[in-house]
Amino acid sequence: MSVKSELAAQLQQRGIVDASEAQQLADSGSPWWLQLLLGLAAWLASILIISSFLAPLLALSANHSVQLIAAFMLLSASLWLATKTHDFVQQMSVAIALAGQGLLVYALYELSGHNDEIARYACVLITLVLLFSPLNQMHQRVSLAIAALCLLSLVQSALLLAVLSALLCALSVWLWCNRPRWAVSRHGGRIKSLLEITTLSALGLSLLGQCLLLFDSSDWLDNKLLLAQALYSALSSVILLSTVFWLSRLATVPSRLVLISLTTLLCILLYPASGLLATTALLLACFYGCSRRWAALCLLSMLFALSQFYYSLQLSLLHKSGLLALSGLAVLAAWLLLKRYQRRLV
Amino acid sequence: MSSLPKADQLLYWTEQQQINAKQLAQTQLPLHASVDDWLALANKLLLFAASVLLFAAVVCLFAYNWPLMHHLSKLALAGSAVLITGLWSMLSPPDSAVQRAALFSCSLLTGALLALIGQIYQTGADIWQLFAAWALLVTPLVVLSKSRASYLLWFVLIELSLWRYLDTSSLFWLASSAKQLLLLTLGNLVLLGFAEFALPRLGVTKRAALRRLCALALLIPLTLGALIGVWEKPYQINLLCYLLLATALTARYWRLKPDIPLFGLLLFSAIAFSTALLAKGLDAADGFFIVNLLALYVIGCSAGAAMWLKRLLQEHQHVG
Repeated sequence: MSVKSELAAQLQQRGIVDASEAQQLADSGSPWWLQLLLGLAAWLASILIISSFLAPLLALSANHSVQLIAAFMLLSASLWLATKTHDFVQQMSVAIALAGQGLLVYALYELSGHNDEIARYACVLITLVLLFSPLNQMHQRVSLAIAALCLLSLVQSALLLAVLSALLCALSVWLWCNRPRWAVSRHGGRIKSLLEITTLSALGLSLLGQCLLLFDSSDWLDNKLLLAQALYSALSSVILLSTVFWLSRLATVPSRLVLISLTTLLCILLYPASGLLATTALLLACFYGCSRRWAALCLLSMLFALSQFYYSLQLSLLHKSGLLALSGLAVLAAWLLLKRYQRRLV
Repeated sequence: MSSLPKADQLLYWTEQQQINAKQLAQTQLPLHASVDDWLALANKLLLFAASVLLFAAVVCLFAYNWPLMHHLSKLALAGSAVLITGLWSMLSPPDSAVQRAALFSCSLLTGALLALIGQIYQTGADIWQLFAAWALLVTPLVVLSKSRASYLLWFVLIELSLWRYLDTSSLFWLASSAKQLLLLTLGNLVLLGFAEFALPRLGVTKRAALRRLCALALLIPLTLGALIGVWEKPYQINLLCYLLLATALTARYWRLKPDIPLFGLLLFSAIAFSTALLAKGLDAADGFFIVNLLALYVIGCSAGAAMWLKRLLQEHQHVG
C-alpha cells in the first residue's frame, strides 16, 4: 500500500475525512511516468495546433497588435483549459500558456525597439501576474524558472550575485523550516512553487559562486571576483551556522555546543568551498521540511560542489587535500561521538 | 518507519487545499523531522560525508603528485585499489550491503584500471572495446553481488559498447541506417530477455526498475525504426520487427504478467506509430487540415489511454 493510500485510510479511520474524501485523496494525481507520457503527447499536440494557427497568422501579418491579440487569445485558451480536471488538458494548458507568454514577450520586445532588458522585465511581470491565475502548479514552476533566469541574467556584478545567492539561500531555508505555517495559507500551492524555484536557484548560484573564476573566463561579470568569492564564503558560513543554531534549539546544551562547534570548524576548514556550505544548509532545511526528494537533490549538489572544488584555482591540490582530510576527520569524529552517545542512550 | 513521507504527503495535501488547517491539526502527526529521523540521517550522512571527504583528500593528494609518478606506480596504485575492494568483499558477510558496496566499487575501479592501461600504453583500441572488456571482466563480480546497482552498471556498459560498436559518431546516429537500428533493437531485446528471465534465477530481488529500463532502451530504437519505416522503404524490416515485438510485449505486460507502466510505454509507442500511419495516409490532403487532425488524434488517443491506464492501475492496486 502506498503512503498516500495508507494515510488516506488512516484519516478516514480517525474520522477526519469521510469515505468519498479519502477515496479522492488516495486517487489524487497520476503517477509520474503517466504524467511524463501525457506531457509529451500534450506538448506535441499543442505545438501542432499552435503552429497550424499561429504560423500562417504571424507570417501574413507583421503587425504588433495582431501578435498581442494572438498572445492574449492563447493565454485565455490556456486559462480556460486550466479549469478542466483531466491531466492531459492540464498539460496542454501549460504548453499553450507558455506559447502565449512567449508571444507576448516577443511582441513587447518588437514594440520596445528590440530592447532586450524590457523584454526580460516584461517576462518577470507577466509571470508574477499569471502566478495568481488558475494556471496549474507545473505552469507556475516553469514560468517562475524562466522569470528567475531572466532576472538573474540582468545581474552584471559579482558582488550583487553573491548577495542575491545568499538571500535566495536564506529565503529557501526559512521557507522550508516554516513549511507547516504557510502550507495552511490560501496561497500554499503558490508559495510551494516559489520555494522550489528559489531552492533550485539558490543551489545553482551557490555552485556557480564556488567556481566564479572559472565561470567568468569571458569577463562577463565585473572585476571584483575575489571579493565576491569571499562574500559567498562568509555569507554561506553565516547561513549554515544560523541553520544549525536554529534547528538544534531543542537539543541539550552540551549537544548543541558540540553541533555548533563542529559546524564552525567545518565553516573554517571549508571556507573556500562556499557551495558545499550553502548546499549543506539547504539539505538540513529540506530534511526538516520533510522533503526527502529535495534533500536528495541537495546531497547531489554537495557531491557536485565537492568535485568542483577539485578544480578551484585559488588553492594548490596539496592545500585542498589537507583541508579535505581535516574536514573528513572532523566529520568522522562527530560520527564516532554520535555512536557513543547512542550506545549510552541504549 | 520514518514519519517524514507521511508528513510530506499531509503538507502537500494542505498546500493543494485538499485538506484544511483544521483537518491537518486533527491528524496530530509531527509535521517536521523528529529526533529519530535526525539520528537516522546523522548516522548515515556523517559516515558518508566523512568517507567522501577523506576519499576526495586522497584523490587530491595523488593528483598533486600524479605527473611525477612513474607509470608502474600509477598502475600499482589502481591495481591495489581493485585488490583492496576485492579483498574487502571477500572478508565482508555474504549477501550483505557491505559486500554489495565492495563489489560495486571493485567493478567501478576495474574500469578505471582499464582506462589507465589504455592511457599509459596508448593501445589504440576503440572505446567500445574498453566498455566491452570492462563489462566482460566485471561479469563474475556482478553475478556474485546480486545487487541492482551492479547490474545497472553492467547493463549501461553493454549498452554503451553496443552504441559505440554501431558507430555513434554521426549526430543522427540512431536513424542513420536501418541495420544499425535493428541491431540495437535486437541487442536490447536480449538484455530485456536477460532482465526478465535470468535475473530471478540469479537471486536479484526488486527487479522491476531494471526490467523497465531495459524495456525503455528496447522501445526507443524499435519505435523510431517503425516511425521511419512508415515513410522509408529500407526501414520496413524495422516496421515488421516493431509489429511482431510490440504485439508480443503487449500480450506479456498487459495480460500474462501485468506491468502497467511498461504497458503504458507500449500504448504511447502505439499512439506515436498510428499517428505516423495516419499522417502517411493523409499525405495528399491540405497541410492545415492534416496538422489539426493529427493533433486532435493525439489528444483523443492520449486522453483515452490515460483514463484506461489509471483504471488499470486502480484495478491492479485493488487486486494487489
